[in-house]
Formats: sequence, structure tokens, C-alpha cells
Amino acid sequence: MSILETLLIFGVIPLVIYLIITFLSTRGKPYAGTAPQHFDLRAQWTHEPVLWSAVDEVTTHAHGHHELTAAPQDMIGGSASGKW
Amino acid sequence: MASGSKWPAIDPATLPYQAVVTSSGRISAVHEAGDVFPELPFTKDELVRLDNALTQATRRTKVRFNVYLGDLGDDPAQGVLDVFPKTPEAERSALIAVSPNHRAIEIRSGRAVGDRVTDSVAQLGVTAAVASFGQGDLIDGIVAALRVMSAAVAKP
Repeated sequence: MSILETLLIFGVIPLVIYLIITFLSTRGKPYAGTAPQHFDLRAQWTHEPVLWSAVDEVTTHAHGHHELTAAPQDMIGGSASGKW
Repeated sequence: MASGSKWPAIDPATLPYQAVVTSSGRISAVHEAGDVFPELPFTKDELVRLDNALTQATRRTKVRFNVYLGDLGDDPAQGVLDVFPKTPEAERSALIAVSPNHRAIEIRSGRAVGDRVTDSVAQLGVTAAVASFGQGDLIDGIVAALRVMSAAVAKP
């Protein structure tokens, strides 16, 4: 086997296979779906309501969840409203 | 899940299809190929900032700060009353509720902390948030409100 044949079989053919796989891998979409569009305050909020809370933080007076019996309006301490 | 709170953040029964709570508390879920991912329309950075602000505010004041984002109906003041009792530790909490579709923000605090999170503290939060909302920054506004309110509420 000449040096040329050796190079062709063990150098060029693997390189071609490598390049084909590289090319194919760049063609597909990186993710199987699309992430939602970043929310713009001028747009309508169409997602489900979200409630965020630091529930892992311990507040000193936490005694677990007891049933709330008061009417909602009697539970309010301070309040403020605003529009923009 | 950390044992600090008796409030489960997630009820496993209400998780969507093919989702499970892992032992660390993280939710592992599959995405169906081709669908829009059912994720929040915010960047990771924004969510981290909000999380940090919530944690710091709660840790600093020992008042549970909650943020609600969603529709409050045509009468936001009434809508927030429906949401408030269902929030974690409602009577010792401050709730910042934002209804983007009605361009309204409502802040309520529980009766047990009403002497600390007073009307004027809540008003500070509204003012801080509305300033950012006017510029189109939703998360920034919420974070600003959290910072201002927690700074105004002195630690007991």
C-alpha cells in the first residue's frame, strides 16, 4: 500500500465522514420546541397566573397553615393600588 | 424540598403531564417536540433577580412577601381579595399583585403585619413599581417594589 493510499483510507475518508456529520448537526433546530416570546408589558398576558414566594425562608411566627376563617376584607392590614 | 417551610411550593397532584418533583425540589418535566415550551416568558436572569429580591425581603423583614402575576378581573381591588387568602402565610404576608392586562398593581398586607406593612409602605411599593412599569420593565418594577418595601419595614 502506497503512502497515498494510506492517507486516502485513513485520513481523507474519516475526515469526509466527520465533515458530513458536522454539517448535518448544524442543520437541525437546537431545541425540539420554541421558548415563549419574552413578555412585553404592552402585550396581553396570556399565560397562567403565577404566584412567586420565597417559601423556603422561615418567618419566626410561622406555625404552619391554619384554616383562615376571617372574610378576605378583614384579613387586610395595609393596602395600596396603582395604575400605569 | 428544604424543610424550612410547611408550605409545599408544588402540589404533585397538580403537576402537568410527564412532570415530577425530584428529591431536590426541582421539577423535572418533558417538552413535547414541536410545542411552545410551557415556560414563563422571562429570562433566567430576570427570574433569578426576582427570586433573590423575594428571599432577601422575606429574610430581612420576616414578613412573607408574595408576588402574583395574572389577571385580577375588571375590578382589581376585588380580584386581589380573592387571591390574597390563598397565598402562603396570608395573614403575615405582603402581596404584590400585578394585572398586566388591566395595567393595575395592587398591594395588600395581612392584618397581623398591618402595623408594619402600613398603607404608606404599600404606597411606596406601588410608586416604585409603577415607575418601572411605565418604562416597560415588569420584573424590574416588582424587584424595586420589594426592595423599597422591605427597606421601609424595620426588622422587629
